[in-house]
Order: sequence, then C-alpha cells, then structure tokens
Amino acid sequence: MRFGGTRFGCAVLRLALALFPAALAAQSYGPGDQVLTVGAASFHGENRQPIFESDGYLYDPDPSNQNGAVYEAPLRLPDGAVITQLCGYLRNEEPSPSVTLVGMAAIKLIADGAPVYQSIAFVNPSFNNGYQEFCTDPFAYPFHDDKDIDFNPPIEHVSHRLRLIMLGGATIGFGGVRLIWHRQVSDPPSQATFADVPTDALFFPFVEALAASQITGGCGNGNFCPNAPLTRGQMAVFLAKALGLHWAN
Amino acid sequence: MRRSIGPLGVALAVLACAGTLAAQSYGTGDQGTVIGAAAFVSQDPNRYGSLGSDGYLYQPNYLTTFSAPVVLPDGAAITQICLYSTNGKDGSTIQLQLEAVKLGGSGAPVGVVAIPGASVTATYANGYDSVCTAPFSYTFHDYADVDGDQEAERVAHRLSAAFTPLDGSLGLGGVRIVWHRQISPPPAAPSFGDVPAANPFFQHIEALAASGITGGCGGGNYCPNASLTRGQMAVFLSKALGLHWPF
Repeated sequence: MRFGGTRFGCAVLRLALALFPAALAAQSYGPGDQVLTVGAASFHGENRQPIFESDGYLYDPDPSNQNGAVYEAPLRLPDGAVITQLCGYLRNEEPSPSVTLVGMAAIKLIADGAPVYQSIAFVNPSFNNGYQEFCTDPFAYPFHDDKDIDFNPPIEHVSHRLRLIMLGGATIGFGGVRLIWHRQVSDPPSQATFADVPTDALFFPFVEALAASQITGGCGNGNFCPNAPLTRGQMAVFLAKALGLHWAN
Repeated sequence: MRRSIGPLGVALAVLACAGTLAAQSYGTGDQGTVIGAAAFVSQDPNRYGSLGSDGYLYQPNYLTTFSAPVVLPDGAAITQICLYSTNGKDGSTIQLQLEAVKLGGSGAPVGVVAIPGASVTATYANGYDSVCTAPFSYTFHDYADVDGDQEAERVAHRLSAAFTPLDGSLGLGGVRIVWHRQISPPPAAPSFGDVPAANPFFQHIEALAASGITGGCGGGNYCPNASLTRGQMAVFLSKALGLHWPF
C-alpha cells in the first residue's frame, strides 16, 4: 500500500541519511511490541571517527590506543514509547581482556544550572570469541521528550542517545543495537474534558488522549457523545486529523 | 595488564544527546522534538567536535559548522526552534539555522537555502542558557520549491550550528523544534460524487483517498453520511496504520 508517499520519502530519507548519520525511529503502529534496529552506520565518533569493514561492522581505527574509542548515535522514539530491552551486536576475537560497552542514556537540556544525565540501560559483555548478541534483562523505560529524569522537578526537555565504548584490539567490532519497544496511550488527566465522558467511563483514557492530541473537540456543548453512531464522513475527519494526512510527493 | 578507558569511561553515566528524526506522536496539536548534540556532525571532517562530560558538543579551536538532519512528517508546520548551549566567553557565538538542501535531479542544484525566521544565535551567557526564535511558520515538505524558481524539487533538511569559539567554554546541548501536523489542502476536483467541495468533510475525505486508505463505497461515491460498522472501522484503521508486521 502506498501511504503518504512513503516510497519516495524513504528514498529522500536514505539520501539524507547518507549525508548525515542518524538513528531512525521505527514507524510501525499500534501498542504491540516492535523492534528498532540502529545499525553501526548511524554511530559517529566522540574522540575518533569509526571505520567500517566489509562485514558492515564498526571498528576503532586506532585499536592500540589506550584511550578507548567512544561512538554514539541519536535515539528517537514516539513520545510515551516504552523501551523494554536493549541488545548489542558485537564481535570480539581478542585473546586479552577488552571492553565493549553498549548503552542508552538521557540528558537534560537546561536553560540554567548544572546539566543532569542518566544512564538508562547497557550491556557490558565479556570476551565472546566471535560475533554475538548480548541483551539486557527486560526493563521498562518510558521515552519522553519532556521528562523529569533526575526525579527533581520540574520536568525538562530531554534528549536520548545510544553509546558505544570500545577498547582492546583490532577484532573488536560493533554491528548495531536492537531495541524492543511499544507505544502507550497517555495517562488521562484527573479532570474529565467532556461532561458525558466522566473519569469512570469505560473509554475515558482513550477519549482524553484524542482530545489532548487535538484529534477531537467533541460533539458540541462540552460533550463527546460516546454512544452516538459514527458516520463515514466523521470517521474521515478523525483519521485525517489523527495522522496529519496527506501531502503529495 | 588491564587498560583504563580513562575519562571516556565515565561513560554511560555520561550521556547526552539526541535525536534526529521526527517525533512520532499523532494528532494536530503542538509537539516538541529534541535533536541532541550527538546528532550533529562537523561539515569539516578534520575538525569534528567532542562531547564533554556534560554531554554537550565542544569545538574550542576552530570556526566549525555542525549539521544534524531534520526529518518531519510531510506537511508538518515548524513554528519555533530553541537552542540549548553553554557559553562562558564574551564574543563566542553559536549561530543556528534551519536549512533546506536542494537535491540534484533535473536542473542545477542550488545547494543550501536558509529558512527565513528559523535562525537564532547564542551569545555570551556565562554558563548554560537557552534561546529561541520568534514564532514563525515553515511547512516541512520532502518535495517543495525552496529556491523560488516556481519548480518543486526534492529537499533534505538540516540544522546547522556555526561555532565561533574564542575558548573552550562554547558548547551545544541540543535543539528543540516545536511543530504540528497539518491535513493537506484538498484538490480542486472532488474525488467522490457525493462529497463535493462544499461538504464540511471534503478536505478530510480527500486526504484519506489520496493516502490510499479509502476507495469509497462504490459507484464513485464515499457515502459520507452512512454509519460505520466495527468491521469497516477495522479496515480503515489497519489500512491507515499499515498494521501489523511481526518481528
């Protein structure tokens, strides 16, 4: 199905990504589990730029350097997405101890004061003698652009990134990161927006989510008319507003 | 002998950074998308920056411009951009500009077009600070006439941050874009016989048709006043969202 000019949009996107390393958010819908794979090509260097070998993996160009190499990639997910697992794909054929650390972190953007940052999850595997996948235990981290990550109000704007640290030899490589996540419907407010959809109504959180997203303004007079039948015309308004349809390419 | 990963190992606790892509919340309300420092890449491969322990991007020695890709849903209206930075030296600046990059095709590329109003400069602040543009409106398209020659072209967008550092205290934390989705304007000629341009639902029904979500109810009509069954609702939703692919 052609949806919103996606095919050509993707071609443009690929061009843009060829110019700039970038982590794309997955774009499947619904509240079920889905996967976001952020490949090695999305990562760029903090202290030295990576090289990519014929296996598609990322390598440190100066593996004997005693200062480990640090690479990172931006991470974006829909507001409210819950990340439940992180897996790193690594190669390690070094005979001696070495370090590979793959993780996810958040930082507060601040207008004043000291910055606040927080590690969210990481895997730190030992020597594995080859290519291997390493995953965290399941966890639950809700992704928000506006979040109180240091449990010290108020809420601030937050950015997220994936982070890779490598140290130890020429056969330490990095293939990418795989995140498991799912969408959530936002928590409802304490006060009901519509008189006929009170807080104890069956559909309360869902109707409130639509109103907060400006997908509906109700049926007039402060009501939503939750039990009124829907016409195909009204359905078109709901869907088009919800998805911001449709711009020709 | 175990080697130390040094200050870089402070690591995971040290984070910072960022997004590149479009936020993917829905609806037509305002949303804020954060593009963090890690999304920015130097335009000069020999002068890339480094991320400090505060997660901010620093380049203390050279005039350097860093760019980050911006991808938003087609038709998204960008209304404000805020720059988060730190600056401890009077005279150091970061100039941030939203840019459209015309991609070559037929006709000569014009290169980079600065989006009017989508620019802000961070000056001396004696520390961490944020500064925002005045509200403006720029509609994001992958295909648009950005150079004013009356012909649409394929366009990539980016944020460019030009560092003018006088010392090492100049850093970029990230950028926050405020934007909202829009429904596309309807075509001149209606697609369905029973949904003329005067129909209050005209624009929305045309948007569904153009997106391939509906083909109408048959006979060149859409049946806008027919009630919807739960079964039809399932078709609309699964087509609209492209549901569901297992992994």
